[in-house]
Amino acid sequence: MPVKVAIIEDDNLMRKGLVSLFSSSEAQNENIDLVGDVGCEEDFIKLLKTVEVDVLLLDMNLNDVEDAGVEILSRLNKNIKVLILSSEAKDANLILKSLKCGASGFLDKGIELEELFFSIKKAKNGMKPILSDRVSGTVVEYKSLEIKVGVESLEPREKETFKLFAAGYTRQEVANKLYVSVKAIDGYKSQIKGKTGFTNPVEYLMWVIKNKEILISEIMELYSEKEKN
Amino acid sequence: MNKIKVLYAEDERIVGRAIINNLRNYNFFDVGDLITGDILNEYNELADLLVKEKLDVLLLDMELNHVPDGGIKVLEAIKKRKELDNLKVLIVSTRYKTSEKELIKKALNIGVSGFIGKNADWEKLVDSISMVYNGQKNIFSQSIIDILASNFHNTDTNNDAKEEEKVPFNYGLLTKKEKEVFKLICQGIEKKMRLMKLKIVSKTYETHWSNIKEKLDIVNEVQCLLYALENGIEMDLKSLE
Repeated sequence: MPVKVAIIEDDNLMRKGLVSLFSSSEAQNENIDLVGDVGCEEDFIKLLKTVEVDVLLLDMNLNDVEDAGVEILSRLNKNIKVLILSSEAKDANLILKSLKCGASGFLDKGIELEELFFSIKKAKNGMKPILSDRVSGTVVEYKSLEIKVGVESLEPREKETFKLFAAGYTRQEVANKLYVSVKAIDGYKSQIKGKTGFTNPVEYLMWVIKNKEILISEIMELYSEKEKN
Repeated sequence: MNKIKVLYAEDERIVGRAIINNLRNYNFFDVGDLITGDILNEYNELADLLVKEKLDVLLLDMELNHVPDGGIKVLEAIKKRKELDNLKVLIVSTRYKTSEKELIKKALNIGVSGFIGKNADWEKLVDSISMVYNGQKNIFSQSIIDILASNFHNTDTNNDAKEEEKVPFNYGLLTKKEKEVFKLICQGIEKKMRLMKLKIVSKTYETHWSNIKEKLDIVNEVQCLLYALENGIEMDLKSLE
């Protein structure tokens, strides 16, 4: 089954260019199918009435509204995987906000075509976060994460909680998974806060991204497990 | 018919490859591979490459790998090469900001044929490439015209630029024929075409032109255009939107 992709991009030249890239033999070889291209959220909602979309490629700045992508992201159906495509790769807060609002990934427009196609397929398979090199570079340099350490000192249960939250599980889901009450989970969370200083799941996730090799494969597994349910 | 050889220099690879891919659907263009990466900031090396490629039209991004005036530096490197005298350059940029007025003026002074926004219509891009190939200048997106027409001053505006904008409104002193010449210059029409439209010979044209320069206290065609825009003189410029 081909991956069904849609685009929201307001710049005409870029939009028509992307459409032509997606009709190239490279895209067909990758089994990627463009089902629609629109210039704004309104038209995308209309598009969704006629076609099914697996992965949405979303331009971050639309019609001169900076960060418009984040707003759209928070309103979209969570079944659609969203890849942000942005000119800006240096804004850690924006990247963080996008992931928090449910984006599967954040790519800058400097990436190669091959990476774009590869990222689309990863997004379809439920992987996240998918970050381009420049974007993950920004996360690695993200200052406020530098002083916060202590993930290693978490007790096993706290660490499980940490990983599940980082993988996007809700409080209730974490509780179910660990066979404890939500109240107990809140207790673990405040322990995590005390030891690491992290106050929310996005910070957990950012820590994992920043410390690439640690925990990331486990988080990935939890993601795909969650996707199946 | 000779194909128009086009190259595109752009740091955002996906943008560059997307636009090139679609340009290749037009059989009157011969579009080379995207120029991208570190060479965009090796301005002399880039100029060497352009000499080798023997192209007709260069599409050029303004901000190159986070260097805000990277495009200007490329233009300066091109200017130094005799072999590139006939190369036409179109600046293609995402958004033009009012604060970039000086940058735009600078590019005009060095010698670009026009500025296109990435929100321009696709057909307009195609038309513009053909037009600049044929010697047409001053092809602008509406946003560029608005910026050039604004009297915005930022803190690093140099004194020369301020002088230039204080030029008194002497347009009324021009004769009817001089106004026609003035208008054709602003429209960026190639000189041979100007003579044809005015039905005059080169010598007469030069007389009109030196009168215009004297009356308006300007020295070149770029200042002529800026004079028109800053004083709100209706010029029917080729607009892209």
